[in-house]
Amino acid sequence: MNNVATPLISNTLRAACLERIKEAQSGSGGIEFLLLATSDGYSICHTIPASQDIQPSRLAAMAASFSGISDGLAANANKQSANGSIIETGHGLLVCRQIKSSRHELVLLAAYDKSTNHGLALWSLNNAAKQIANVLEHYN
Amino acid sequence: MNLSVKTFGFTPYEVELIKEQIRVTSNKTTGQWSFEGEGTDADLVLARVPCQGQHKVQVPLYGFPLPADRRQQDVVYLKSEWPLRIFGLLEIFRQAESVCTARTSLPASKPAESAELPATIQLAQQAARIKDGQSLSVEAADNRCYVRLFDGQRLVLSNLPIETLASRLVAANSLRFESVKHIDSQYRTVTPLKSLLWSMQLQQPVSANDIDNWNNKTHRLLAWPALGQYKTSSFMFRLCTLLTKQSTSIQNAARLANTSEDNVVRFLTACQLVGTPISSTESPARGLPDLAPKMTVNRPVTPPAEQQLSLLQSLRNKLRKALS
Amino acid sequence: MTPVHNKILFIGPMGAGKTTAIQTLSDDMAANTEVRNSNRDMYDKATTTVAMDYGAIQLDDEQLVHLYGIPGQKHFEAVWPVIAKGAIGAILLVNASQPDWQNDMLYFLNAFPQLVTSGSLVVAINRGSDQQQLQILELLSQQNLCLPVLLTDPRDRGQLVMTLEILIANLEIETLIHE
Ligand SMILES: Nc1nc2c(ncn2[C@@H]2O[C@H](COP(=O)(O)OP(=O)(O)OP(=O)(O)O)[C@@H](O)[C@H]2O)c(=O)[nH]1
Ligand SMILES: [Mg+2]
Repeated sequence: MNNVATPLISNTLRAACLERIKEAQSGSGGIEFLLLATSDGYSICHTIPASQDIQPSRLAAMAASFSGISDGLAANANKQSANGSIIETGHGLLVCRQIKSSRHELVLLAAYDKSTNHGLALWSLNNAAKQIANVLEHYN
Repeated sequence: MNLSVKTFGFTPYEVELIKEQIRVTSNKTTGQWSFEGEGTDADLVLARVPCQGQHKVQVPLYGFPLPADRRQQDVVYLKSEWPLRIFGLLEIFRQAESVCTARTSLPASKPAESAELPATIQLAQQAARIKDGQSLSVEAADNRCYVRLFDGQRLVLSNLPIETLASRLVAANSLRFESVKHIDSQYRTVTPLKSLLWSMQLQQPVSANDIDNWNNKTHRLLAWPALGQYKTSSFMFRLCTLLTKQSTSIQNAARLANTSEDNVVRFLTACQLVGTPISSTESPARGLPDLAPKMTVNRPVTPPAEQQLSLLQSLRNKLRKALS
Repeated sequence: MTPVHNKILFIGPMGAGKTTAIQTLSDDMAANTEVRNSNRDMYDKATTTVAMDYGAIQLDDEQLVHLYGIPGQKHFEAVWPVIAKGAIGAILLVNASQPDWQNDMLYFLNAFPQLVTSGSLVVAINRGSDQQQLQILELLSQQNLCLPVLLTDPRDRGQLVMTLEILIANLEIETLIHE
């Protein structure tokens, strides 16, 4: 049961995605980090500083689980499927957004600092997601 | 002393290597070790995959971590590393020799008069004697079947469904055995002998003598029988569960599993016949509760037992309904 | 009032058939969290569970027995205890046609120690042989574990019912001896 690197994501695609999430983070205030994962829970790239005691692979798996639950919840409430979901904490928001292209299903997770409000967070994450979706179309 | 060694679960290449190693060690051991190919019936078995069988010593080389205090009744396990080295192999032979000498010096039990024994035991004893490739004809009233040792496994060839055969053999009670060369092609239903013995034993009348054998002791199953290979019903599932969890007298087993003492005795004997390891301990006095030492386990909070049991019963009813 | 516990868990590695088993047993369509499987090297199938499977069996008296399945891939290990919480028993599914299936089984026994020590676990091997069933019984007894082992096709309701019957017997005896 070894964790194998995800075979469907090429290194060029990975690099391009990393480029976009770095831009997104520097382009909008309040983002602590971004993490992009496959919908089945493998980390593709992230901006989590090494100094932080966070395991990106664990986070990728849990973000995928969370998105999976959101989708299931939406479907069972007759809302078809989820586009994203929000976790509120005393230390800032965590937001997941699902990104789908014809070849890839991904989850983008963003962590915001305490000062960022819902509107700002959703807006900045939507922009980042659009950028990634663009990249995916390009590399399809 | 002549001793046999077999391998089990290795690739043909690995078998060749081991064969060569055994050849190299041949003049360095006290006993005469002969390599007899793949199988589990030998004095010593080198096993690449977990296996059971008629052997006294096993060297597990599976690549799984094994705890030191293994509970196995009849087989002595020796540790060694894979791949084997010559010195490792010599050490295995040395230890296996001492185990085998100790075992063979035990007094052999007196052979019983086979006609007086229950049909199931008669069949089990006779079938145990046949050698690879040999066949035994079993005749009971107007019914016949054959037992054949094939590739280390005892198989029954019959022209009846196994359950029917089992009840006819038990009903006939006295069986006639004969060693034969030829098996008529009409005997086409092939079943492992163990499945037949199991089914027979569970229909076997229970004598006072049988009860005596199991009475005044507590019994514990050290493994589950291979469910699915034997015909089972829910009282057996409950007995398996109970007896694998704690050593229990036949009286308490009957009470807790909600069945008769006769059924408990039939079941224990059936387990014995198919080689499920059982450990029996003398109990101090008849009828004393043996439930006192409970298993100390981390359990989730138990709801009121009655409600829990009724839920389980409704689930069982529902599952049965869905199937019928 | 203490509630009656009524949750049964399905565990085991990727492709073992947890989602399939819960679909087979559920009265209604089971809910699941399947997504596209991006790791076909690990196991070649179209989708994989990322959070949980959920199904239920409706009993006569309006009670429900809940069936929960975990996502089998090891990187979801942090999710397992969340799904497992409150389970009274488990079916451990293993696919004997996978290369490292015996170690996989041991891995899951280690990951759910409570269910193992209370004996509330049935090992259900699929795509295996009688011989492999005996191997597993032997392997378990060498680990000083005494658990029931069956051959079960998770697409076959009758076979799953037998597995559940054994689990029920297990739970009944557990309840009785701890009364
Ligand atoms: N031929 C055969 N196929 C089986 C058997 N059992 C299961 N399968 C198939 O194996 C696959 C199992 O897949 P799932 O049910 O998704 O497995 P899972 O355990 O939920 O896997 P994850 O959610 O990825 O952890 C399905 O396609 C089943 O139809 C079997 O006994 N024989
Ligand atoms: Mg699944």
